[in-house]
Parts: sequence; structure tokens; C-alpha cells
Amino acid sequence: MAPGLSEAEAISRAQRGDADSFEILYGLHKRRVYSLCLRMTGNSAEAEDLTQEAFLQLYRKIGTFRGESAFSTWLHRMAVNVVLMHLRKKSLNQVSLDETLEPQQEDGPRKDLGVEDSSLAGSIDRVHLERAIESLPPGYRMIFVLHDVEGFEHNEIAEMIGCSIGNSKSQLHKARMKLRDLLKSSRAEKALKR
Amino acid sequence: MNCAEFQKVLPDMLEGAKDAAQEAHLRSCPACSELVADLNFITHEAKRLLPSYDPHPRVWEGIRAQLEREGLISEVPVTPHRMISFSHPAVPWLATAAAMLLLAFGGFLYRRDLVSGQNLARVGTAAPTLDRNRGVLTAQGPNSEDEQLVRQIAAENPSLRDTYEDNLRLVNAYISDAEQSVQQNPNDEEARQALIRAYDQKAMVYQMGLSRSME
Amino acid sequence: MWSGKFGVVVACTVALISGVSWAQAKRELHYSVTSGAMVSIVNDYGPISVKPSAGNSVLINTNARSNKVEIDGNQNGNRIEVRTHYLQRVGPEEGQVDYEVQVPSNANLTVQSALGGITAEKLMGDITLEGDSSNVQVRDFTNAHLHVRTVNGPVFLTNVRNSHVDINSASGDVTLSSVTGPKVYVNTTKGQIKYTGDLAGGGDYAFTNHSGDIDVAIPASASVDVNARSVFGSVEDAFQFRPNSHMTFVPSQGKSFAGVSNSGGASLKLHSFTGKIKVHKQ
Repeated sequence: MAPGLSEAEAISRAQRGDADSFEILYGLHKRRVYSLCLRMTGNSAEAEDLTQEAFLQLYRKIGTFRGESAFSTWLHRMAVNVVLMHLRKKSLNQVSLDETLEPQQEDGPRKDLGVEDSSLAGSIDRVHLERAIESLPPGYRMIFVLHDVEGFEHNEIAEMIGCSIGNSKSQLHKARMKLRDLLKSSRAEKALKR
Repeated sequence: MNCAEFQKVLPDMLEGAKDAAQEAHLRSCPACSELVADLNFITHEAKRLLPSYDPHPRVWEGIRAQLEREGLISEVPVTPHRMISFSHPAVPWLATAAAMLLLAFGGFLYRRDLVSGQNLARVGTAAPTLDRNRGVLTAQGPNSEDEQLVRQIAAENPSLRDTYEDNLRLVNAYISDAEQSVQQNPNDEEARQALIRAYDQKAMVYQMGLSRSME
Repeated sequence: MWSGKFGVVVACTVALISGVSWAQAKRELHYSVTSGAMVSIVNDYGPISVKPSAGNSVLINTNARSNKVEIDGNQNGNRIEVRTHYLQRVGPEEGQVDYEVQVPSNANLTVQSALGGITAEKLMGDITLEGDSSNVQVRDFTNAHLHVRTVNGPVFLTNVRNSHVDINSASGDVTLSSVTGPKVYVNTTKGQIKYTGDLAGGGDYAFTNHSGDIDVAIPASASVDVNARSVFGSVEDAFQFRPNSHMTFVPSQGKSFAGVSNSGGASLKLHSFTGKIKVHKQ
């Protein structure tokens, strides 16, 4: 790779078909794209295929990039679309509004048994969180990753997925509640093993 | 406001819409307070999750191969201040393969010098003749070094002359096709490997032929 | 009377010469070596067969067809070199010498022949067999490091297990039966490559040529990750592999395919320019 080549120069050269510049752009963005694909699918093989497809789409369309948004944003959106299309093809349906996590009692949230309740903060690290995200049902995982990890707004998510903003908010809340349950269960299991 | 009512409006509250009743409930209910703390913690930690996974190198290989097939990438253009571009992806591979062949050819030419007493000006690669006729894979005729080797072998082992002559033609055709494949697909790993294998074959024939001619 | 005596003298002379010739035709060489001995046999014309010896000895029996050859044998430490030396220019018939060789099974061995056949069995060392037009046959090797090179001599490997195998032939056909890695590489220019076996052990297998067919027959239980490509020829997946989700190229109907069987333990790469590649069940 040519030393000292800026991203802007690499984009410009890639638009003229320069092979080295394609590789530079890939090197700059592969981690973010792959991490996104992996978190949304929970499967490394699928994530690799989707990463490949996302960059191929990028390179096919790179001639149309005019700099109205940041290149990384443009690529990011493209990668998300690739993943969503893939999930749609797999007949992945978002969790229906009727589906609830647990029947909720009038007097408060369900108590975990056997372990003194305490806040997650201080007892859960990012590794636990990553694992819990992987364990989420696919529909919850998709919404959670798009909003809380990747930072898309509900109106953007609604447009991408094809649902209402209210639905996106509702799904996100359920995803977070499910994550909380998973993290508490994981912490309880660890405590019991000691 | 009880807990059920509170949790019903919790999603909007987390989005920023909070009223006095909700805040009062939070102050008075440890369970709901803990729930909100946990959800905020999850949201906060999620934002801090960095992209932390790198894809396997094969991902890039697949991308590059597909881009070449689609003709979307090309060689780096020669810039004015560089007279010779060594950035063609196939150059290192061709250089390695050619070096192996040079070794075998060099041995043959050195031996020929010793035998014939001639003082050759150079030791160089014997460039196989390219067959431009795509799809017609006929064996190439031997070049001058090939002919020298065949003559040398024939002098020592006449019964092997035809064998070496025929097989030199075959390996030259192999090299020709492999070189064309690399020229058309310079970033195709398989094409480069095929070229190395083709050169291996020629080097093998030369090395075995040298052994015969030195007996 | 005179003719009778003369006849007897002639007959005795002929017998004497024949006897001397016969005595020179057969020769036995015996060397004592230690572990890791290096043995080199060079014999242009005539078959060479190699088998394991009992203990640390190298035993070579030669049988020459004419007196125009002599057998030179040298030992330098643990290195043995035996070569057929031609006293004058000879052809394959007059120059033929038959070799029967026994070496320690773990000896490092190099055999070179132009037109004779080379046969080696039950060895496990570092073995190099070179035969220009020689028929090379290898049987019952285990844990060996085997290199075979021929110009147009056919190569046959049978029951070679857990070995590093590297075969190069310009136009000789290569036939492998029950040969397993960790590495099995076959490269020919024109020779046909035929493999029958189970690819057991999860090794790397690569069969490549310029022209000539590549035929691979494996059991349905074989665990293999296959990648097959013929630039101008054709490929046929008669085995019916599962599609491979991690391909470095897009398969092209009739020209390339990639697939997996069972857990994909062994890697099988098949490449040809104009040959037909076929993978099928045994």
C-alpha cells in the first residue's frame, strides 16, 4: 500500500479503479463493518460473507460517492442494508408486538431467585455484554445493535427495517429487558458455581 | 403510580420523556430504580462497545478476486517519475519463478561452457515462446537453450533424446498458458501458483536432463 | 586330433571367459551403517528394487547384462554411493544392470534411473526416486518423506500412509491408491492423475496439471474441503459436495466448484488448464 495516502486520495484513486486503493479502504473500514455484521448475525461465517458483500457493493458504487456524507457513514449504511437484506431473505421476522418477555406482575419486576439483587453496574463487563448480545433472539439483537451499539435513530431504523417508530422503540425496550435478564442469569450462574 | 404503570411508560422515559409522577415513583421504588439503573447501564456500555473483530484474510481475497472478475480494478498506473513499475502484483511471483528457472538454466549453461569451452556472454532465462492462439494448446517448439539441452542429452543418452524433446515442448506450453493466465489475472493466487508449478516442471526437466548430460 | 584339442582349448577358453564374465555380472556390496544413513543409487538402465533390511546394513545385489559396465560403490561414514559406471558407450540392453537393494527402513535414500523401473516398499525415511522414463512403484510406506520425479515415467503409489508426498512428472501418469498425508502434492504437465483413497487424517492434498484428466474417488464418509478448477477444461462434482460458504472464488458451472463433505477435515485442491477434473464416490 502506498504510504501516506489519505482516505480521500484513496477514494479518488479507487474511483479510477486503482487496486491498491481498494485495499487501503478495506483496511481502514474492515473492522467496523465486520464487527457490525458479526453482532447483528451472531455468526462469523455469515458475517464474513456479508462483509465481503458490503465491500463489493461499496466498490461497485464507489463511482457515485460525491462526499455529501462521510465515507464511513456511507459505507456503514451500506453494510447495514446488506445485513438487513440477508436477514430478510432468511425470513427473519422482527419479534411481534404481541410477544412479551415475561408476564409482568402488578407489584413489580420479577425477582431473581437465589441471588441478592444488585445493580448490574460494577458486576458486568463488556465481555459479558457481548456474549449476552450474541444470545439475544435475532430480532431483538438487530434492533439493539442498530440503536444502542451503532447509534441509528428510531426513524432511521424504522425506515431501514420497514416498521413504525413506535414499533422500533418497543422492540428496543424489550431487547434491553431481555439483555438485563440474560446478564442477571449469567451473573447468578457464576455466583452459584463459586 | 405503581410499578406496572411505571414500566408501561418506561420506554418513553428512557428516551427522555420524564414527568414528576415517574420521578416520584423512582425515588420511592428500589426495584424500579434498579431496573432503570440497569437499563441505563446497558445502554451506556453498548455505546462503548468498539468494533473489535477483524475478518479472516480470506474475506479480502474473495473481494479482490470478484473485483478482478468484474473488471473493477486494474494495475496501478505508472507515475511519471518512475521509469519502471514494480508494483504489478505478479512481478514478485514471476521473479521468484524465473529465479528458480535461472538456477536450472544457469547450471545447464555453465556445464555447457565447461564442455564446449565456449565463453558465453550471459546466463539468462530461456523465454518460452508465447502461444497467442488462445484455446489451441499446442506444444511449443524448444528455444535455443532447450535445443542445446536436448543435444547434450542425445550425445550421452540417444535413447532419451525424443523423451526430453517432447516433454520440453509440453512444459513450455504449460508455462505459456500459466503466464497468460497470470497476465490476465495478476491478483489471482491460483494463477500465480500455477505459474510456479509450470516453472517447477521445467526446472525439473532441466535438472534431470543435466544429470543425464553429465554422465 | 588337432582339431579336437583345439576345440577343447576353445571351449575351455570360452567357458573361462564366460565364467569370468558371469562372475563380474553379479556383484554383492555390503555396508554397515548407523541410524540415518544416506544411500544413493544411480543406474540408468535396469530395474532397481529397494526393500528394508534387517538391522543397520545396506545390502546391494547387482546383476549386469554385459561386461561393458562396472559397479562403483563407496562409503564415506554413513553415506553410501553406488553407481553403474559405463566403460564405453552402451545402449539400454547392454548397459542394463539389475539392482536389488536393502536399506534400513529409516534410511535416507536417493535412486536415479533413466529407463529401468524403480520399486520401493516398506520404507519410512526421506526418499527421492528419479526416473526419466522409469516406471516408479512405491508400496507400503509409513511416515515417510517421499519425492518422485519422472519425465514421462508412470508413477504408482499404493498404501503410503501419513507421509509427505511430492510427485512431479512432466508426462507420466500418476496413480495413487490409499495414500494419505499430511501433505500429498502431485504436479504433472500432461500426465493423468488418479487418486483412490479416503483422504484420512485431515491433510493437504493438491493435484495439478496442465492437461490430462484428474480423477478422484473417495468414500462418502471422507471428510474433505474441495476446491476444483479447470481453466479451459471441465469439472464434475459427481460426489455432490455441500456448498462451501467460505470460497475465495465464485464457482463457475462446469469450470470450477468448491464444496465440503462431512467436517471438511482434509483440504483437496484440484487444478488443471485443459484437463477434465472429476470427483466421485468410490
